[in-house]
Amino acid sequence: MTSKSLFFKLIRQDWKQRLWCFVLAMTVFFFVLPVSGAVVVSGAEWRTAEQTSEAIMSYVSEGSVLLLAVTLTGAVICGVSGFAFLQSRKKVDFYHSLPVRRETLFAVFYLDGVLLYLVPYLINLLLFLVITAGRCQDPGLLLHDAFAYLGMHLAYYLLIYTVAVLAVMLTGNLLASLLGFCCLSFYGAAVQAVNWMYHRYFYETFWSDKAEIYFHASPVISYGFSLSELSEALDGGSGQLWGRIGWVLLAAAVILAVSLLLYRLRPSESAEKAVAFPLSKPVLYVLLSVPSVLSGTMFFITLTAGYETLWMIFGLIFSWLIVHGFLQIIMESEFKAIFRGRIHMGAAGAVSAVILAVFVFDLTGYDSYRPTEDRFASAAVAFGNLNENIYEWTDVGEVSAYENHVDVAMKRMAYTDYQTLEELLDLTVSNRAGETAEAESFPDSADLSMKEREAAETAEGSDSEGAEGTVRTGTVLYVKFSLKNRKEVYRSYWLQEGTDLEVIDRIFSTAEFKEGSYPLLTMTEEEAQGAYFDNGVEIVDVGLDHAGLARLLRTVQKEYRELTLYNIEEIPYGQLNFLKTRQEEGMPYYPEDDQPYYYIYPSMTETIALLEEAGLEGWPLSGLNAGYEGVVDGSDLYYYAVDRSGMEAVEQSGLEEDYITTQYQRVYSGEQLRELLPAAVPGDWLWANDMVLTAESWLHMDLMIGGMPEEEETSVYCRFPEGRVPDFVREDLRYDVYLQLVN
Amino acid sequence: MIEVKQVSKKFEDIKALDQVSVSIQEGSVFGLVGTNGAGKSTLMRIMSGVLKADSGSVSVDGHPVYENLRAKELIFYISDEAYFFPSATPNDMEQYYRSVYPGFGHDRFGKLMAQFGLEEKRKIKTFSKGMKKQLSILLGICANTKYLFCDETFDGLDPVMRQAVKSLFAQEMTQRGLTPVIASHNLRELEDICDYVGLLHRGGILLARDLDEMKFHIHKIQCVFRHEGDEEKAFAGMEILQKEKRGSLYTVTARGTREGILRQVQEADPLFAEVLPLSLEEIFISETEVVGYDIKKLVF
Repeated sequence: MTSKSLFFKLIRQDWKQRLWCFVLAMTVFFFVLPVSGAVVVSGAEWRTAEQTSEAIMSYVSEGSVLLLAVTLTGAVICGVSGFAFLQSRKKVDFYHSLPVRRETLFAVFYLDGVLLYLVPYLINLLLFLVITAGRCQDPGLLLHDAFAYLGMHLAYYLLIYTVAVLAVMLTGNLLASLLGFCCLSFYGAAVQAVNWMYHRYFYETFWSDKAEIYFHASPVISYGFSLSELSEALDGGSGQLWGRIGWVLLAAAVILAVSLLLYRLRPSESAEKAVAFPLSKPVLYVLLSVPSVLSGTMFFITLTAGYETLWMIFGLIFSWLIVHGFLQIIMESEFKAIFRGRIHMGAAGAVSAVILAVFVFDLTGYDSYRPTEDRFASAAVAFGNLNENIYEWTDVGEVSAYENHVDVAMKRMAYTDYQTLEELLDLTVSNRAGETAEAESFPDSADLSMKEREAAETAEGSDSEGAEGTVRTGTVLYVKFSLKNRKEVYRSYWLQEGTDLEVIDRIFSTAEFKEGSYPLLTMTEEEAQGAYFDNGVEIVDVGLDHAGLARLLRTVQKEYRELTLYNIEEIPYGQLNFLKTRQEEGMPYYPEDDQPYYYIYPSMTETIALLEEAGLEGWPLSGLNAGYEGVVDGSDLYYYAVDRSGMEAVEQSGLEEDYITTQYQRVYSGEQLRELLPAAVPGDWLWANDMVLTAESWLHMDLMIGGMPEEEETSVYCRFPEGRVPDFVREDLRYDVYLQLVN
Repeated sequence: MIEVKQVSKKFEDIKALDQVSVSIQEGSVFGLVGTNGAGKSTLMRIMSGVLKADSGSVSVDGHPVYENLRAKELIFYISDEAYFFPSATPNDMEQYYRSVYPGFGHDRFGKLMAQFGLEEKRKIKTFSKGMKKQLSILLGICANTKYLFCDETFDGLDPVMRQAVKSLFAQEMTQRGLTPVIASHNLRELEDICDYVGLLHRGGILLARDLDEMKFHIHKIQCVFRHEGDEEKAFAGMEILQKEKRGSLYTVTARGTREGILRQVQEADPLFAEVLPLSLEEIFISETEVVGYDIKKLVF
């Protein structure tokens, strides 16, 4: 008998034995595909043809979530059941005594596992298409997308199925195989996650956003991500996904080869044992134990806010013992095994302790890292609380990805002054002593190490009026070091409140920093298609022709290059938004979706002159005061007082809790309002540059336009920058009493 | 011929086989005897290519057996716990074996199934233990391999069925030169079928002998002498394995031919002398006691 005919005979025989698997797969796919398709189509009576067509196309993409679950489950079932004979001595004796090469047996069972998925899927997909194609406006597209999804599911099925097969090769019983599959599927991502956690907790300069966990190390997680990207990719998005599918297939092939090799080497007596290769036990033990012990240790460290060191030691020892017991019971299939294996237990404990020590004592010098000048090429610098209004949309195929101000700077900036950069880094501080104010940063304080955040949370908050010329609110400093060997190193630091702005301003004022931070500075006249101006009350089209627009753009660019950080401390005159695309008639359009708004500062006199020439007026709306009222609300004062001094002291002081009362609200108009407005800022303008311009937290003003508020659009929410609240307002709102309470 | 040379096998800390060497000639029935845990199944599994020996070699007709199709095609292995596909019938198993053993006798299988009263289309899971064993043997015989390894296969058979199977083996051996290798812990069961017997104990071969040769060269004689002292003359120079005296009756097991032993005893002019047949048990007891083992404890 030729090997080929034997192969096909064995396939046929195996299908007979695994008929249950085929029937199960057919049933599941039948419900997920043709039945669900029929349900979608049967609602056509209440929908338009277009809606039905869209519903069908949506099901192909959204229904893939169901197919993901089916594929994942099927891969594990087929992988484990197909080679389950290796877990039974009787079956091993049967199969391995036959005059059939192991390679042939492997090929038969492996291929059957693939066919048991593919054949039911194909049959039911064809039924689905037969049912739905007639109702679809573009059957060709339906066919295209349906088979694209099939290809995606099949690629990941092959990968996950092969991983399940590998798990069976390495183990000898069902429980161990399933646990082995989980380990193989998530180990890479899990180790990275533990590493990330430790970096984030122990290293102050760790920039968590830039230390991404490569989730594609896990075939299961990668599957989820890839599936969510397929719809976009089919719309002409990035070709990255197709490349990844190639890697998936390659990985499946490599794992398949390894599985086959292991099967050839696998001793038949491994049946019914947890681990098939005894020599691999210590290696597996250490590989599994160390990340688990470290995870457990971290759990205990973060359990409470105090006694961190004690919890760390306790967590290390406790986790070490528990993990050892668990692994021993699984590997030896016996409870008493927890008292054995002291050598590899000791090894795992030692490795875990060493790794922990590396982080605790920063033995690699992570936090103190600074490239030497001879290795330094350039840097990108961004501040968490500065220029938060800046963003960019980056095209990825036919869709766009949003990049915030830090991303923009990291992408565009190449700052080369090493010495000044060193001076800036010397200004940064450690938060270990918890001496800094509560951190407010963008993206958020999660970028600080957890120890910094914990320290900040326990530190006293600051209600100080920061001095001009200093950092008003503690800020994260993001730095990308680009080295001459093309390596990039990312770090984040902390600039505490009160840090002098002089060094920061020196960096800010450079062309390298400006052009890296403000994409507007590289916009060309040809690109500028229009502009909108926001004066704090309304947003209007500047209404300039192309020449006027070009002139305005050039002026703004010139004056932005001349700006200093001290100019940013001014209350803006308004905001300008230059557009690269024009609004299509009849289409809803949000200008800010195209390009960010840039603040126009009082020091930008030429720009202001051009705007006024165009008939526009900025804040504080000198020509619009008549008929306006300002409702100033300082009711938060009461709660701050209670928080700081306690209820009893507050009651004794005479401050009372009452929202609707003359005690905390005042209405100003006329001269008083005219005096008040220059000290106020539209609230929307105060979020982007907290580093140098922060608001008094205890009051705000609603600028009422044309009388008492009835609708939201008739008022403008305003805040007051620190230190600029007029005295008469403070007196009216009993701010002096509050100060007495808290000092 | 199957050659096992210096084979050792260890399972973690347990030494299952220790330097075992044995030759199994074609055309003879080889019995592998030993207590539970002696290493019989391990040796069978190694010989059939299921397990790989830690050291030593196993060859079948000159071909190393492990992962070697040329050797495995010559062997059919019936495990002590035979595996059948879930919900399979004898027909299903026959079809599977037919795809694997090209020489499988389909017609012969049908006839034998009928002969043994087993239904071909009945689910095997409804068979008794003995019926499953019968089925395994029939499948093995119909595979038409040169060697048939039976691991404790006879244990579940009733005496009638055992006899039937023995006849079948004899027929196969005569017609096509089948060489059965039978492992059992029951000497009595093997006595009338085996030509060659190997005794396995604690992973080692204690003895491996041709049965007829063993029987030819060991005899038990009972005699009564006329005078005291006559027995010394009678037994002088004889290789005595066992000697027992009850009153005047001497029962002696000695190595030698029947005629030689009888002649020597007759020269002492005994009152009575008779050579008695030895069972396989008695032969084994005698042989192993010589090397210091109490075979009764080992095998019975």
